[in-house]
Amino acid sequence: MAGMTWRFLDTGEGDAYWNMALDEAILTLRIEDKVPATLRIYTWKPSAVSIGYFQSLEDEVDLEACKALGVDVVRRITGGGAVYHECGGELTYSFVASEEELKAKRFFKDIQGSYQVICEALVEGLRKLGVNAEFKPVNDIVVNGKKISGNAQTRRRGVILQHGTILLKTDIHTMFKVLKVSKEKVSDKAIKAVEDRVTTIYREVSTNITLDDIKEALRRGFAEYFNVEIRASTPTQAEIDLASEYRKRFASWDWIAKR
Amino acid sequence: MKGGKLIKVALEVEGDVIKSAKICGDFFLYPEEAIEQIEQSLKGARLNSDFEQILIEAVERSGAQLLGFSIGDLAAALRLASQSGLG
Repeated sequence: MAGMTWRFLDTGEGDAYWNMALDEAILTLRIEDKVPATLRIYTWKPSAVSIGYFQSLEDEVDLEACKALGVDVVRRITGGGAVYHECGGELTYSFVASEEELKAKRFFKDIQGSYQVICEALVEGLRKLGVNAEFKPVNDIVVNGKKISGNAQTRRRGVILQHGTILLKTDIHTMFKVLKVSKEKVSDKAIKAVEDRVTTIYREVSTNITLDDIKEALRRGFAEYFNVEIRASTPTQAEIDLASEYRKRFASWDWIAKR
Repeated sequence: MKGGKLIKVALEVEGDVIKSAKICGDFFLYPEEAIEQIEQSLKGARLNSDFEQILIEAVERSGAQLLGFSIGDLAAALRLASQSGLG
């Protein structure tokens, strides 16, 4: 599959467990060389919190608040921090490629370098929308110093899965309720502090921009940055079957409360 | 720490010996499963151990690569946790 045209999947809305399961299924099938390198875009319905592989569920998430608000909770297979994926408030991408095929397009020398090239492809896409984005190590994309996207990757047998969130707008009040990190400060001052550190596509460009505009900009950004054709497609039956299998694990309490 | 990552260490201690260690946070470690080997390596260590040395060996054994934090950061978190008694 190496050298083939890359694939673009717009899989629309999914719940937290399905979303994480399909990312992992693409990763597995890329390892088996059954699918090409893939850029996938998706959203979350219902809204959900995803926590990093190493995070403590108890420390990061207010489960009662999530339950009351109908917000799902899922543990990712990637490290990094807790993210509130608001339905309608953000867009998530995932990108799966072998290290080798990626390096052939854009050389990097270490893990941090691989974050950089994938994030730079995203930056290229965001710039097409008029968002003056830049990569900020370790794993952020910022606009004038304000975070617009957080990214996380895992690697298995020479294949990289990187996924990340791109903010469209922020519901900081709900975010503060479902995440424990900022619990003690649901004050106006704390909300202002987050607003000063974070920005969104709608704030940077306009609320008139459509999801399709953003998806197309990202597809083109990746295609141009890596100098490869990226064609719209749909998940294979094998991906759907495998994701259905993985979904059970992501939805299990054993996995969610693993740490 | 550099990169803005957070490490939380929880130790279960009997006397001055670590019975179990849990390392949580928003850092990156490859492969992810190596965290369990690293936690295991701390089992049985005394609270005044040279954590840096234990971690260097465990990281080497597991072939883990760290991103967003260093072995020194983790050793410092362990020292803090062991000084506070129960982490």
